[in-house]
Amino acid sequence: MAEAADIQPSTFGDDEAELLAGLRAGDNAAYEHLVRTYSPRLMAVAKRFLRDEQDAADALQDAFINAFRNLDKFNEQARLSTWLHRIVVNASLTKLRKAGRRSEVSIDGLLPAFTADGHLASSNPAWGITPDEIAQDRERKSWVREQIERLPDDYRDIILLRDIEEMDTAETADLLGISTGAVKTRLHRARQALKALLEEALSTHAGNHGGASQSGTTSDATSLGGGEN
Amino acid sequence: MAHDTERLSCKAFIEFIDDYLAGTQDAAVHKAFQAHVESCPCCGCYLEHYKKTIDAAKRCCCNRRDPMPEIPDHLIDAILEAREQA
Repeated sequence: MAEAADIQPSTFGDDEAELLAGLRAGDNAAYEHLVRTYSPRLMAVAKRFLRDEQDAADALQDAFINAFRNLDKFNEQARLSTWLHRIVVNASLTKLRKAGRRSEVSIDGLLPAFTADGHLASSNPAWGITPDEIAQDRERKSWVREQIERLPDDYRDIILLRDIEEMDTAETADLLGISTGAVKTRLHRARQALKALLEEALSTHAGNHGGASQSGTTSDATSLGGGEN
Repeated sequence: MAHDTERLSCKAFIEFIDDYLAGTQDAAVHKAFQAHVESCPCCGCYLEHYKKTIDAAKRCCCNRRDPMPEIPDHLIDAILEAREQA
């Protein structure tokens, strides 16, 4: 799991056991501590899924209500932070489904093209920049987020679940109600499409001076961002 | 899908990338995968960029250096009030 695993109760004891005991005893201070301690990182998760601030706040509230209702089902062998993380992801996905999906756009044009004998039809454009350098630049970081947002919903969600929230294949399949095989196939296509979109964005905006454009990428990437979503 | 693992095409190589990254390739596939990447610069580059894509997405969306969102008191209060109805 991404960030939530690092959350530690800071003032209610040194471990989660004490907090959990307080929650199960109905201690108001324990509940307030839980909400105040975990809300910021859980909100960050909700905001990665939901574009609207109010939707993210609603998902956070729904997640805590769900957690309160199911506290007796929490397995003490697990971490509270991991459990809450999964609940807020689920609440965010539920909110997304209720909000309605954007129209689906084919990503076929973003996938690599092959010659008849199975060889790559074109070379990859050079990146000329490392992921770390991208992440340190606010504008470039924003481009990466924009490219993820350009993906059709099913592909965007799988990138968020597997690569950003670091949920495993089985968990992701369970949350999305699809098979593990479908998760793997969708993730592979999503990563390939995002790769093509990033290469296009980097070569257009980031001063990439090397390499040829990947076959089919530019026109299809443009159409993805142009009014069909 | 069945593949001739003795010698992978670029298309087959790319299909096996996720298994490679997850460390779940069987020995025969892994050997063919390594042989292909050593002999095909295009696929070597494709693999590098594929890994960079995952890394960049992760670093840009989930960066520990980013400030955490501030949670307004009214939202905390609403959540705690909702507990009584839960």
